[in-house]
Amino acid sequence: MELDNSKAQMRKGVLELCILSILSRGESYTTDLISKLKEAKMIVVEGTLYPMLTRQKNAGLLSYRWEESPQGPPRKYYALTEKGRTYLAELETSWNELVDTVKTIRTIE
Amino acid sequence: MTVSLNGSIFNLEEDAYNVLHGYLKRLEFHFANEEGKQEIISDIETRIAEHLRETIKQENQAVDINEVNRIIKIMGEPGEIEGEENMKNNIQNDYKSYRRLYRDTDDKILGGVCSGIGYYWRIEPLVLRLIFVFTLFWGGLGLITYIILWIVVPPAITSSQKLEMKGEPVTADNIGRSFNDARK
Repeated sequence: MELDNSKAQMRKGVLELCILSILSRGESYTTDLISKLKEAKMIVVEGTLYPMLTRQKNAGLLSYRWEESPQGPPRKYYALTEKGRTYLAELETSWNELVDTVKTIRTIE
Repeated sequence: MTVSLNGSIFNLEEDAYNVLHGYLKRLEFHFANEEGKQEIISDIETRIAEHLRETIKQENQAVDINEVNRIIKIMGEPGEIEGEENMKNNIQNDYKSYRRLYRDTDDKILGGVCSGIGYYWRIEPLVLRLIFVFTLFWGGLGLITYIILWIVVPPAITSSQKLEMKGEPVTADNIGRSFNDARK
C-alpha cells in the first residue's frame, strides 16, 4: 500500500462530485475548471478531467456549448443539465452520509 | 516539423515532435475502447495547444523537447490520468503493442531485415540469417522474400523508431539513451 496511491483513490472518488458541484454554480470553461480543481489539489495531472467530463456528458449529466475566443480556437463551456442536478443532489446526500459514518467509526471507542 | 493539434498548427523540433507523437499515440491506445475517445483526445489536444501557445514567444519559433516534456508532465500519462492504481500495468500494456517492424540499419548484413524481424519476434537475428541463406538453395524463394521485405519494411532512422523497433517505451529518457548509444 502506498500513501500516494490511497490519496489518489480517495480524490478520484469525489472528483465527480466536485466537478458537478462547481458547475452547479454556473457554466465553466474547461481550462477554468482545471485551475479550480488544481488549486484545490483535487487533480494532479490535467488529463484526468477530460475523460471524466466526456463520460459525464455522455451520461447526460452535462451539456456544453462552443464560444468563440479572441485568441485561438473556440472554447468549450460545460454546464449542468437537469439530470445532472438531480444526480448531484443524490451524490451530495451520500457524501454527507459517508462523512458522518466515517466520523462515527473513527470516534468509536 | 509541424504538428496539427485539433486544428492549430505548431512548429516543433524533431525530437520534440517524436515525443509528442508518442504521447498522443499512447493516449489513443489507452482510450481505444472508450465511447468518447475522439472527443477526449481532441479536448486534450486543445489543451496541449493552449500550453504550447503560452510557451511560444515569437512567430515560427520551434518548440523544443523540454517544453513538450514539461507539458506532457502537466497533462499526465494515461496511467496517471485514470488514477494511479494500475499505472504500472497500464504502462506496460500500452507500450507492448508499440513494437513495430523496422529494418535495423545499425546491425545489418544487407538491409537489416533479419535484425529487424529478430527484434519483432524476439529471436536471434543469426537464426533468421541462416534460414534465409538455406532457402537460397530452394529456388531462391528466400532471396525474393528478402528483397521484398527490404523494399517494404521501412528502416528505423529516428530515435523513436529505433525504440519502437525494440519495443521500448518512447520516453524522453529512452530517446536520450538510444541517442547516446548511437554516438558510441
